[in-house]
This record gives sequence, structure tokens and C-alpha cells, in this order.
Amino acid sequence: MDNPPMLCVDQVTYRYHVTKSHYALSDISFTVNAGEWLAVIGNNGSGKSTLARLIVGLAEPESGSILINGKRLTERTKWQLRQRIGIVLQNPDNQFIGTTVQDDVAFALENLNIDDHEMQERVFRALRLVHMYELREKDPSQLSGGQKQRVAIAGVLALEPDLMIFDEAFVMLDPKSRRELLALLRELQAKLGLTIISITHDRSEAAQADQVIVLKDGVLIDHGPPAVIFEAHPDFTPPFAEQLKRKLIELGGSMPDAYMSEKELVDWLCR
Amino acid sequence: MQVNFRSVKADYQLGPIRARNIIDDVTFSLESGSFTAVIGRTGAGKSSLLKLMNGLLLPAKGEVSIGELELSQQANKKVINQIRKRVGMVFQFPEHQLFAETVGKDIAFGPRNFGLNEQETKKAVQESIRLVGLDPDILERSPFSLSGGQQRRVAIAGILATNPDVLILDEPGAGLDPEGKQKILTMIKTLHVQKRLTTVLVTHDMNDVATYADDVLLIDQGKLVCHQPVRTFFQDNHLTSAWHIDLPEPLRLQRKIERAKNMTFKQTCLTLDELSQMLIREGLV
Repeated sequence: MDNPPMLCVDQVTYRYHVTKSHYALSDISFTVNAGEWLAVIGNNGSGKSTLARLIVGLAEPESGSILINGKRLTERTKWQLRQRIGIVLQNPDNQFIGTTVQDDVAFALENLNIDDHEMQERVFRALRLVHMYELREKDPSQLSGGQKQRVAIAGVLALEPDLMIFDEAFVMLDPKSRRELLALLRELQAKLGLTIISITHDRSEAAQADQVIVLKDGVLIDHGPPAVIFEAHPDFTPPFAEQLKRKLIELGGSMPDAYMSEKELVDWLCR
Repeated sequence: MQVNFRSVKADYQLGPIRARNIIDDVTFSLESGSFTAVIGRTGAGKSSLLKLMNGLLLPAKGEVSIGELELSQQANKKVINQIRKRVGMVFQFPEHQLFAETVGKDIAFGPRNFGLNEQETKKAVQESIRLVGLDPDILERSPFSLSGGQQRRVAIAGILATNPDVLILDEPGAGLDPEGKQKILTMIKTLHVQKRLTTVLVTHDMNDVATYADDVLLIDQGKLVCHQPVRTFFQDNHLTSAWHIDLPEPLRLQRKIERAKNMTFKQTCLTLDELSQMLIREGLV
């Protein structure tokens, strides 16, 4: 028998208040398989963050259901299911609790009732993965923005979740740290079979995903691999290589119409 | 309006803690009407540099001058006040500072505080809402009913209403979607040209530097590393690699193509237009 998908969102509808006629999300359905990376894109106010809140059980859908690993997320099951989900938000400062980096990473584990020895092992392992082990004794408030974000990710990794959600988690990083972190997540996805949902404005981050869903005014308007999505929505600023290809066609160059990744474009230009 | 730093040193005093030489012997001159991008790592001193430009931080040594006005350690309140009327500062996430019950009242706060009468204030509000590309109908609405991009425009309108000669912006595109960010920066560039502003932009995004700025000012550990035209700066491979500067996307791709073909092009392409035209001219397409 096939394993159930890691996440199944089925006809989910949500309003911030029942007296409001505006739906933050209407009739959203999609699935994410185990080990897959899904990017959620859409402009400010499209419902992306609301969706993340529903998936981690911070808010409840008005109708429809959310299944995690085949189990329905409800008020009763959410405590248990949340142990398998980690979320990292835009501003890590809002999530820091510990007075040292390692205490902070350990905090979430303390609620899981595991023995000290295993806890320390998991904390150190997570810190090594994000290259923050050497700084484990530091006060989180003294770290740079990129380092704080790594600690927040370590905190979630130490929980060994099946599903990690990043809600604009890389916005305040400089481009270099952002690239390093994305590469690290790719590595972890392959190594640990992590399932990743990244909510992002960054089109090159979305281009790295296996699947992309597009939200607009609370409605899911498209779902597919990045190449298909960027081809179908010329109004989205695509990754730079695709922008260049379109410009070259506009200037009269004869090039393939289909979406091209950066590597494909460079290979084509140097053929 | 010209901005001059002459051997400026500055310390930071936070309660009992004094951080010395957060800006360390910095000298430069920004021409009137120039558009300068300030870049550098987190903690390099970018924000301190901006604060020195409008008297939020005073030099411990040396002088900062804005036009004919001069700021030094002994600067009095009156001079600082005059400088703040000339220098408009847009902080990171400026929409967090919106507070009034209507957009109109929010924008009017600055000019009214600087002593404009009711009629002049009204005129300044009307003009600045138009400058940031919003419909005047929005003036009666609550700023909190607007989208993130609109809120940021309102916050910028509040600064423009004080009619500054120097406009300073700290990461004005942060947290907006790519289309919203491009719109804000294009608007800033248009304002810069129309109002002949001297503009200073702090950004991490080298594409913004290449697209909007004339000059780059790179700082590290409170010291000025270089101040030069954008193209000269990105052409210098040694400089950009020594300081781990990301290349703008068009140039990054150009270098990638050069490596793949094992050759170098004469031109340094900083924009999509430049790169696409060069590839056609060079016969790659």
C-alpha cells in the first residue's frame, strides 16, 4: 500500500472573522508527498501566511480538512501532530527564549520528555548541521541576522520533524547567507528525507522547489513544477535566466520557447 | 545639496556601554543630485553613517556638513533642527511608524511639526500623496486598512511632505514582493530625478545598486573601503571578490558564460538590456 502524503489540504476555507465577507482562503486543495519541497508564492496579502498558520494548527479552517501523514489535524490531535512539524518565521528574534544558543535549541526538546543525554546529542547534531556548533555558548542576541536564522533552523531540526515550514524565513538575510542556507536545506532534504514548505517572495528560491503553488487573493490559482509555473505566469518576475531568454526573443533572437533553467540557458548560449 | 564627511569618528553610547569608533575616520563627499548606494556587511556601520547625516548621532571628531550647515560634537539644537528639515530619513519598515487615524493626518505630522501653517501643510500633503503614486481619496482612510506596499508609500510620503533636499532610505524594498519592491524603487528613482534630490540608499541587493545608483560607498568595520561609480566598482574583480560582494544578476550570468566559453567580453553588463544586446551583438544568439 502507498504511504499517505505528508500533507493533504482538502477544500480548506478560512475567514479571520465570521462576520467578515472576505475569505482569507477559499477552497484550497493540494498535497505534498514525503521528501518533497513545495514553494508557496503569491503577492502580499494573498493568504500565504494564513495557510502556514492553519497547517501548524494555530488557526482552524472554517470548512475542509488538513491531514498530516494521513491523520486529520483537529483541536485534539494538533498537540501530537505538531511534534512532527517545525516552523521558522521571518524574524527569529520573536522566537528566541534561551540565554545561550544551545539552551535555545534545547528548549523545544524539553517539552518532549527525552533523556538528557539524547537531548544533548540532538542539540549538538542540529548545531553542527547549520555550522553553529562553535558558537553554542553565545547569547543569541549577540549574533548577526544570518546566524540567528541558523539557530532558529537548528531549533526546528533538533525536533527531527517530518515537515519543515519556512514563512519568509530568509528575507532579512544578505544574498550570500540566503544561498548558503538554501543549499543546506537541499542537502538535508536529500539526506534526511525532509519535507519542506517554503513560503517566499523570492523567485529564485521558488525555482529550487519540486512543486510550486500560486495563491492570489486567497485562491489557489496554479500548481505545478517551477518551469511550468513561470511559463504560465508571464506577469511574475521569473528567475533571471528566464528573464534574459524572454528579452533575447523580444530582440529577435531565435531561441526555444520553453522555460530554461540557468544551466540550460548557459549551455544553449555556449553550444 | 552636498553632503560632506571630514575625518569623522563616532562612538555609540548605549546606557553605560560605549562602543568606540563605530565610524572610524571617514572622509567623503556626495555631490548634489547624486544617487549613492551604501553597502557593507551587517554591523559594518551603515546605519550609524546614516544617523550621522541627520544628527541622530553626532561626530566625536571631525565634521559632517549638509550644504552650508555643519554638524560637529558641539552642534547646538538649532543647527540639528535645521539639518533635519533638509534631510529626510526613511527607516527600515517605515510603515511601523504610522500612527494617525487617517493617512492625511499621518502625512501632515512632519510638515506641521516643522512649523508650516494649515494651508501649507494641506498643500504639502496633497502634493506628496501624488508624488508616491497614490490616489488622494486614500487620505481619508486609515493607514492600517492599506496593503503593505501602500503603507510604505504613505510612510515615504510623510517624509517627502517635509520637502527635504537629501533623502536617505534604509532598505526601502525589504519584505515586499518583487513587483512591489521594483515599483517602490522605481518611484524613488523618479522622485530623485524630478525633485533633484541627493539620495542615499542602503541595500543588500546588488541588483538595486546596479539599476538605481550612480555611485557605491562600501564600508567595513566603520572604515570607508571605497567610494566610486557603480560600473567602475563592479568591473573590479579583485575588489568584489576580496570583499565578497555579490555581482548583479546580469554580470553574474555574463561571468558564467565567459567561464563556460573560456573567454572574456570587453563590456561589463549591469542590466538585462545591456546583457541581451551584447549577447546578440557578439553572435551568441
